[in-house]
Amino acid sequence: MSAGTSKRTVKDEAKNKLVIQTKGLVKTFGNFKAVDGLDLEIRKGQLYGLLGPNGCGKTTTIRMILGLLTITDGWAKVLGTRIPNKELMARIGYMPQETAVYRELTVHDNLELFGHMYEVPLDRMARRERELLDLVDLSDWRDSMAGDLSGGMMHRLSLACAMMHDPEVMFLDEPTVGVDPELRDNLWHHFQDLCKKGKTIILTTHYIEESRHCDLVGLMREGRIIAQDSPKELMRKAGTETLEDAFLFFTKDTARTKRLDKAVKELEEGEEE
Amino acid sequence: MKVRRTLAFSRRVLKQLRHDKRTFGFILLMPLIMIVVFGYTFAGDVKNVSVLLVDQDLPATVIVPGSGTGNFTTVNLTFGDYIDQGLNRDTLSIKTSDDLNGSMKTVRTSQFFQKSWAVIYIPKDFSKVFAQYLTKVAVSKVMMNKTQCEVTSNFWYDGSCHPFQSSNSEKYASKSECQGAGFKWYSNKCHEDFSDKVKWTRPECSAHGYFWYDAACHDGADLTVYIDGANPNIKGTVLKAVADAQLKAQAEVFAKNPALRKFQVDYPVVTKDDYAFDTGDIRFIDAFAPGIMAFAMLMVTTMITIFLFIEERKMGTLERLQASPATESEIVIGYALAFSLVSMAQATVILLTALGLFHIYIAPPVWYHILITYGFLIFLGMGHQCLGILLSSGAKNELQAIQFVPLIIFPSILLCGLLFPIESIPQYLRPISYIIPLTYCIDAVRGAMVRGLGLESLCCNGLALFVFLVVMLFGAIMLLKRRS
Repeated sequence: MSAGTSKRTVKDEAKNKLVIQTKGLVKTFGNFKAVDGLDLEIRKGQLYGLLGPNGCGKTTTIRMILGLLTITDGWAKVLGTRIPNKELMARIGYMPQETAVYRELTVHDNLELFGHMYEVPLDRMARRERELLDLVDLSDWRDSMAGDLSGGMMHRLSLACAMMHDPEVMFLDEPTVGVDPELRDNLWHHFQDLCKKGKTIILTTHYIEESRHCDLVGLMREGRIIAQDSPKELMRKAGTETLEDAFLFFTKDTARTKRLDKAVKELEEGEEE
Repeated sequence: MKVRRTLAFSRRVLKQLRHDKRTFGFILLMPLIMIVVFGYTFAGDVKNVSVLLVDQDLPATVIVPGSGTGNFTTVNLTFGDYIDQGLNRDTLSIKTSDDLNGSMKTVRTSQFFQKSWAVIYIPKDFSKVFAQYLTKVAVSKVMMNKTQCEVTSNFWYDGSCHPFQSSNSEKYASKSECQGAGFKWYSNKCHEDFSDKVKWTRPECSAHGYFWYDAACHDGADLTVYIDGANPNIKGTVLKAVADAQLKAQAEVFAKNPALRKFQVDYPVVTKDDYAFDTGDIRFIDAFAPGIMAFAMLMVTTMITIFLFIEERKMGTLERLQASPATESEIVIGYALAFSLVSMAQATVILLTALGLFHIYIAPPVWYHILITYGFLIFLGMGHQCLGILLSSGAKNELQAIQFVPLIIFPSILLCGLLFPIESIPQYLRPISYIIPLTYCIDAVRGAMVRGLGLESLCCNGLALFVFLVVMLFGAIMLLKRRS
């Protein structure tokens, strides 16, 4: 399935604005196909949500696009450059699913490290740190050890670290896990603001309802995108009231042609006997 | 490679260690405990110590008086050959040479596979002096009157003829008395002024307990062992082997020459363990301290790097670094800089403890040799940090990492020559010693601190460590570049 929602037809224009592009992306681990021929086209300024149950290949996809996993087949481009490419990484922000912060460092030390790592201009470091601490509501914890924070707080710190260098493209793997609802709402608004300013964000979440904030949602299952559209359009196509129901609709839709179909058949045969 | 990023990684490691007080304590206390606990321990049978034998001895004749005056028997012997045969070939691996100065130079500069620890020097007049001594003993044992006794250069007192008079100088116990009597004071003892000896007449020479031959006064012709005292264990072994050889040689001489048997004595051959270096009296702790500095460095760097990288992997921070513009070499070098600082601090603690508690010896110029030592420690540390990175990929958690201790750390400490000299390690295990980088580092830091060697003599060790470092650095960077 392709990212076919865009109405833009002028090829050059589309090309210019394509920020993330994959073609036939495949990743296999032994016999297991984690990602199965994934095509993605994400444009500048889009807030793209990759949705799906655990193990459907969301994280694997992101890690391949970031060059953290070798690509078994197909290719991926970010900002028009083929992955992997080290220099490109300076323009990308990445927040992994694990709470990847240095627990033995303070909140400030963590942000400072990422600032140096991404070469944030020294005169802008302090201001950037304040802004981000404010955003993730950790200003009061600036000098606390990251390891002493609660899980949710650490997660927020991790998010702030990914945003320290104000990247053009952000890959956020489950950015809202463990974040309380009020702050979660703030974060979503912030993401939307960033995208309005021309940043591109691709994030994964399994809070399906949350993805209504996204411009575009890709529903993943067993390494494939089974549906992709704006949240409203997805609900309309599925004829459901909520995104969750829409997700279930599309899942069933594909499942019928797949293994589940067989399982159901077997069950039915079992009942007949 | 960006300096800013590299330094940021260094700072992060240092900050992390600072916050982790337990680990910080471990880094500083572990070597302290080791130096105190192991401080006076050593063991192992030393074998195959390479030594050089310079045997210039010439045959000499012992004159054995018969019962009546003018009745003599002569016995020809080359005592040096007996010594040569008496040396234990199992303990010592002996190469012979004619060139004393060249051999001494070899001891001073040789390293590792060519390492020679000592020169056993048997001088030209060795047998001659021995023969004279035996003659004198023989003389003293035969009844003589005062005139006969003095004519044969012996001493008549207490109603009998005595072959020796103890050195005049030795009765002076204080420096002022010694110098007042015209002797020289050194090594806390009063010594004859050797320069005067050439002026002495035959009776004066004898009166001072020296030997008159070739129409001049000689200060004996002692067997001399010029030894590299940097390793007290080896020094002890060599000296014991030489002393044993002397006893054996004497026994052989009397066994093979029945005419001498009735005059059998222990010839008081003095083994002068002259050092090949100006090292004074090297104790175990003097050589142990530089070794433990290197070992502590290895232990801390390897283990902490493994733990830090396991954590980086587990926490996902490593993945974050890999998804950043930071290059693998920046990460590795950043870590290396931090560990270099840590090891400097550690080395300083050990050094100060060793100086304060044990007053260890450091060859002058002290600062130069400490600087060389620190340089080698950094080399070793960086190499081992890279090894730690490599090993960390082989362990999923801290529990698995601990398993590297018996695999890497124990063999290193046992086979590197820190506790037991390599010469005490069985031959078939020695190749392992020579592939352990710590071996080269310990040899180098001992060379610098104990033997006072400069960089020019330590270039082989430096090269070995450099190769190790480059291979490990390359390996670590490749490992970090690797993607599944």
